[in-house]
Amino acid sequence: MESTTVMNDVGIYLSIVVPLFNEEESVTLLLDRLQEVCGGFDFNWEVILVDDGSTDTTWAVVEERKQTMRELRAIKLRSNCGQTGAMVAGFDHSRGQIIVTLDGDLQNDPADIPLLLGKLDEGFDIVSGWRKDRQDHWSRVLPSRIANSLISLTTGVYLHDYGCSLKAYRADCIRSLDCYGEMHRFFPALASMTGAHVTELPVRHHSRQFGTSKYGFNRIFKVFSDIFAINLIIRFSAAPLKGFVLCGLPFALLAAALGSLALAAWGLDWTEGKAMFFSIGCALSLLGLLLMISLGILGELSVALSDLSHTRLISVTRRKTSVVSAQHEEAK
Amino acid sequence: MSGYREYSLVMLVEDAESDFVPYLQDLHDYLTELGLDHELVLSLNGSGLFARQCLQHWPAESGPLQVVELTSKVPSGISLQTLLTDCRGKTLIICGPYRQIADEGLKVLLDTVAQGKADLALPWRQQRVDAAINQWQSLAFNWLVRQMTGVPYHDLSSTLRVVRREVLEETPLYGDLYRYLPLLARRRGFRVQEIPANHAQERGRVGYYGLREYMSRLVDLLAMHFILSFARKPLRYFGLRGILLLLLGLSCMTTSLVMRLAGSEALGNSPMLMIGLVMIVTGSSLWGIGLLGEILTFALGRKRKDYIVEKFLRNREEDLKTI
Repeated sequence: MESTTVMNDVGIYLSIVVPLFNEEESVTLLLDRLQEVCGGFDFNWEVILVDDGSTDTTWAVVEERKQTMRELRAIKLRSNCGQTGAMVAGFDHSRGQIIVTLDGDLQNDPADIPLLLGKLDEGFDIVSGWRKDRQDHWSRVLPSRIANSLISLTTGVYLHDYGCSLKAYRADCIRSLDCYGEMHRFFPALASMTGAHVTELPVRHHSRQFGTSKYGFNRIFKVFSDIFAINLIIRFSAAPLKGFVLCGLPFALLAAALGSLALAAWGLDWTEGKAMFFSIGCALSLLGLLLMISLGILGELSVALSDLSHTRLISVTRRKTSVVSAQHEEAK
Repeated sequence: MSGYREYSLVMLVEDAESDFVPYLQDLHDYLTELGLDHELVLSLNGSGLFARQCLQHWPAESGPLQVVELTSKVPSGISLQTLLTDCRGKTLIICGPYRQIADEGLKVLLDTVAQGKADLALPWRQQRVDAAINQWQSLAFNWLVRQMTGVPYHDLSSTLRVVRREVLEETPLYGDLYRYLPLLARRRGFRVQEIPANHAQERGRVGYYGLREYMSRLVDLLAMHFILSFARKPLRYFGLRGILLLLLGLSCMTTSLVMRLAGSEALGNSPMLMIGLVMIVTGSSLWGIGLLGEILTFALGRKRKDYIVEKFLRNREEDLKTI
């Protein structure tokens, strides 16, 4: 395929990052497919395989393949640190201007990579795959759909399939995020913080051929907990006090209601004890509000001590610079 | 790694131990006998004046001894991090001021690390010679650690450890967490081996420690439990407990309101409303603390990498012109 993006002819344009965990059976087939698809590109590309602490012979297979495949670079992590850690390791060791991620279990089809690149060329910064015709059991599809709807609704970045690993990113957008924990599902939503343009594209999906799924039901609960955390980070990481004051609003309303009842009980001389009861209720609600505000202030303090504001500034400045450069080119 | 030695023998002296000099001399002789290239580093953690007096007996023919003196006593984790910059050894032999295990045991630890079987080796003291009451306390403590962290080590109380420099560089220690270094190192992906070794000597208090010591250990253990499981996801720890309390409180309040609407006793006479409110405030606070934890992690800890690269396969030419 031809890329319309201007690139340095000695550099790598495309880095394909694949995290692996006990994928000894599928890794060879995956690399064959990647060579088949990417072999026709008219730009330089590389595959970064990240062995995330596999306990089978995955690394041995990778080492053997490296002898004959120059496009292959591989990282062996000291221990299993999860998909996010493995992907970030891949990003950190990649050299491309565009990064494509995909699963190592052959559920994603490398043939979709050119389609993602084509979409990026339309001007998007992130293209997320959408397994429209998903080949999974309903017990996995249903919670995933609920989670996707929740993430979309709460973050404002509407995607059908956050869980699809097949995604294409402009490297600047993803490398600057410094992700950790289990954030890989939320890369597009997090990147939107820096003003990245996100879209999605239907991609093929194959059922798992080898090995077992690394997902279980306990993951569903973790994902829902993470949705809260990510929303807080996206919406309020620059001004946490606002977020905590919002959380404290119900307490303020409750304090006002109970305070009014207490006043009424005192003024109208209700049954003995009621005034005290409502006063204590009002005091407890105020305590809740005070705690929320205090936590918010601590949040502000931590953000002030960090470099969060600088990160945002860099992304904005970079975009401005590119606009100026384009205008300059036009003027020339 | 030019300028580096094979081993740094690091002796941690915290209390007014009078006979650490002969033990240091013995260890130096033993390592020399084994033909191991090493340097001697003495960490005087708040024990400076007394230790300096003892050092007057250090024989000049034993070679240079590097002394890192902290003028006031700090937790062991901090003292170790402080002296890491002064050590040039690729592997550190960290020990207390007296012989805890026999030299043969130390040799096995050294061999385990040297042969690449482990990045950190620690002894599991066998045939213990300390008082039975201390042994029982040690057993109970290590059992509790295993239950709370799920990590299968039996003897975290020994000071002696043989550890590759990289482990200490990649595993930040603070407070009194030196005791838990094997757990933290294991979490970072390093190979840790506990090796049975004959107990030689034990010092310190015999019998029960003060309440402060027990509380301090329990708090450290709680911190370890949190760090090992939830350091990157604090909301999962606090949020679950907070939401449960919040829901319980809401159901209490709803029940009392429904009962009131159904003609039961007045709200002011029902304790359920107040209990519900207390639960809601507590639950929200826990949840809020979890959220604050998330902000702290994102704001201050997101640049810290979760992974450690063991091997990197790439083409010999670093800067490829074409692939």
